[in-house]
Amino acid sequence: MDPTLSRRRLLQSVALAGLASGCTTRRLSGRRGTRSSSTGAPDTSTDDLRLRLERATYGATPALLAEVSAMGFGKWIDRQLDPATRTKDKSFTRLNAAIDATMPDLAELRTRDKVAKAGYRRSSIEGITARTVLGAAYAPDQLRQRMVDLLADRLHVAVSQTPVVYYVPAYDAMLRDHAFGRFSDLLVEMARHPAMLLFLDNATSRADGDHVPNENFGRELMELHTVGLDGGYDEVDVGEVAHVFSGWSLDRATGGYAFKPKRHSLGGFATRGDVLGWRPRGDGEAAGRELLEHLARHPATEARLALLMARRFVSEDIRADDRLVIEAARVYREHDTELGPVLRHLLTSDRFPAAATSMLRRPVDLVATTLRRGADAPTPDRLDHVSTNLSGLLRVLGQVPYCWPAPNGYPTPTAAWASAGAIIARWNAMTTLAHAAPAGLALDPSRFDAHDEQDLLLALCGPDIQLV
Amino acid sequence: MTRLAIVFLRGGADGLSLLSPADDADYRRLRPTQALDPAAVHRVDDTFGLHPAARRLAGFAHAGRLAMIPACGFAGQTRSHFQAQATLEAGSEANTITGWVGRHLAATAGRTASPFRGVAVGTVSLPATFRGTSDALGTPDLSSLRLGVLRPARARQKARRVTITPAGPGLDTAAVLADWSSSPSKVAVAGANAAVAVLDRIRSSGSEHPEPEGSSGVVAAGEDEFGPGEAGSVFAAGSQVLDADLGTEVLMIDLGGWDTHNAQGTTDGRFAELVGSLDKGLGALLDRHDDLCIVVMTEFGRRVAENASGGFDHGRGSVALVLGNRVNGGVRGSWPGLAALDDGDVPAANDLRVVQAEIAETVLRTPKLDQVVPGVAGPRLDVVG
Repeated sequence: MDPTLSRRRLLQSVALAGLASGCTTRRLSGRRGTRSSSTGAPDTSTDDLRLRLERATYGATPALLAEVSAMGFGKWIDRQLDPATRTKDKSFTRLNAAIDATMPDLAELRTRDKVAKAGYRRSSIEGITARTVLGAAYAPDQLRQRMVDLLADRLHVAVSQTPVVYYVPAYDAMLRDHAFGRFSDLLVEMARHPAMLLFLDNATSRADGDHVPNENFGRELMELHTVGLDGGYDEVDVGEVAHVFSGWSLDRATGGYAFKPKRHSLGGFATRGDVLGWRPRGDGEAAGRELLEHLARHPATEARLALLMARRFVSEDIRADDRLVIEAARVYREHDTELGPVLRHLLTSDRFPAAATSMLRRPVDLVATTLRRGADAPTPDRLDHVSTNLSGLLRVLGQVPYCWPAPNGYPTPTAAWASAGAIIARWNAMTTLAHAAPAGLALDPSRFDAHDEQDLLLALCGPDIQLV
Repeated sequence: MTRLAIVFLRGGADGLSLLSPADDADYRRLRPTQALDPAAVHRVDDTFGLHPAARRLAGFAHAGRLAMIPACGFAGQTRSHFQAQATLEAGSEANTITGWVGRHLAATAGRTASPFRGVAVGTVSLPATFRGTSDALGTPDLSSLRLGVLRPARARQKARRVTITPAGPGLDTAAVLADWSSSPSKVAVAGANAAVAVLDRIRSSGSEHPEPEGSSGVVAAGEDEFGPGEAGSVFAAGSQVLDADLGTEVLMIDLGGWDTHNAQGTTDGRFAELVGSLDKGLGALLDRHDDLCIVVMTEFGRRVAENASGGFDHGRGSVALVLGNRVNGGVRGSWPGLAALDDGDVPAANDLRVVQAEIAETVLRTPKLDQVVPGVAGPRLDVVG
């Protein structure tokens, strides 16, 4: 059965849900109503599974629902967390390789040719957009795609700054590799990555002699990446952390990470005090690594990451003192900052159905779920058109991947995406897909139970597609 | 009635380079490579000069149409971008969910009926400044507010234009609203209803096609008038909103890129380019809209001393600018100098929330000042006559 209801059936089911007022109809009341009308009692186990799958993937297609029903949700999650799932679908692997081939490698970027550089910039942005959206729509490792979406905002780098853009494809690949691993390892990879070293200016920081180290990375490391604004640090700590990371820089010859001892100095830190309970045992590169390990395990980081993950995967309104959030923080601690087990706990919890609330899909999510439900994956030969069209659509919708200019990443809550201007942009994006699908993005109306383009358009603009 | 434009410099603009005490001995000592040449700035009084790239602003200053408030910030100023922006947009240190202009528009809902009373251009989001009213929206430009098929420009094209052409039977918005009527997401439902109100108003005002068929997006002719690049496009889009008969009282323009931790530059370079874009946009906007009052603000200033990257880390006091015919021109408020700094920063000697309150009082003529900008205690600056 198709996951999407036609408008006609939706209205019918809305009426039924109205009759059943008083029931828990927190989400997708229409679907529940439909089911209760046919069986006499709500099929809560299917609804429950569908709800969890919608959050763990970019669309619980009929095939996926059937597969997971047979296998069991817990087992399916375990498979999602298994890296082998990434390469399970050979045709997707080929598509992904074709996307990667469209993006310049770092050797090419050493050119001084301005026209070539502008071309590389465009192909980097379009390539990363294709990898993000087509991965969300068609990759077998759906949960990883969802987690990367979160990490790309939490550990954000922006392509808006010119040298950064060339390193973003590699940064995104790094996030994909570490999406379920230990957060402490991920922080080290992030801090050493050229994209982050350039975006938050640590590459040019130094503390030797009279130099005042650049504070940009140190501040955002605590405010955005780990403990959060209320994590207990002060302005002196920001300066100390900047000293700790002085010398974390780039190698001129390779363009890769290099620690430069001559630029490094802890200043008076060692004798002055501590940062959030941490004191350096010595200086050098090891101090920075130790600090990252410490921040990853700080109680404020545990609580904040648990809350941010619960807000994305369960409910944007969930409270910090919700049992589920507190449990997620405990799981993070017990698994030595591993993110996979936290996801597993959030998505399989008995608290999930009651805590989950409807959220407006963000633009990448909206476009990806529409394609996942209604179109086959494009063939590699159409990739050029598809990439251009996807990044054009997302530009209008306001969410080209890695294009949010500030270091805090794209906003999450529904309110940020529900302004009148944003809703009109969504309706137009859906009109474009329904009536005049750009090359490689044509939808099959029958998969939405729609008889004509008008019916399809209403389905795409309705809550079943727009909300998650 | 005077209309208001808010220009928000996101990232924390370096007040000491925008309105520079270029002769100050401490300024020159603390900025060995990034200090402005005293001979290059546009003098506005014995202490200060505007950045060399601020040519139009200098003209407004000499004509008495520009108020400049140095050492401007707020009490308990934070060096966090996101907290400082939240405070300013809320107009309250309590960081309320609603914004200061949003509360004003809600308090004066009876004055005009229009979903366009507050418009932010260059974005699809509603800035926090406008939260708390259904009479405000964010949109890239006016021509984005109609229904149809999108033909977005390729990313390489400089002005990010979108063509929207009607297609098929069109979207039946009444049917969409019916589908949403029982949705559990109240916020999304409110957004859908607001979208329909906006489309209706655009249609009835005749602003649906503000530019000739075939062109699109921003003002087609004279784009250079508003300056280059994305900033120029946003200023042009803002001017178009003010031209349309949509009942716009407050326009908001966000400009990014002011977070200059690295290679800020002096007469030339990154900061000079930012100032040049700002200057051209402000000049063109004021040339075209004589009735406008423009306030330029930023979340914080930058550290007085430069860092190892030739840039400046987050600081406290910056500069606010107010432009228009009714402005009391010149440098206003107190200037504590750079001998006694606030933990390495220019202190917030003049309260930016006083600037907001005076604008709410004299330009917006708000009846509920104590709600719009609550708890302001700083001395008056009398920026608007």
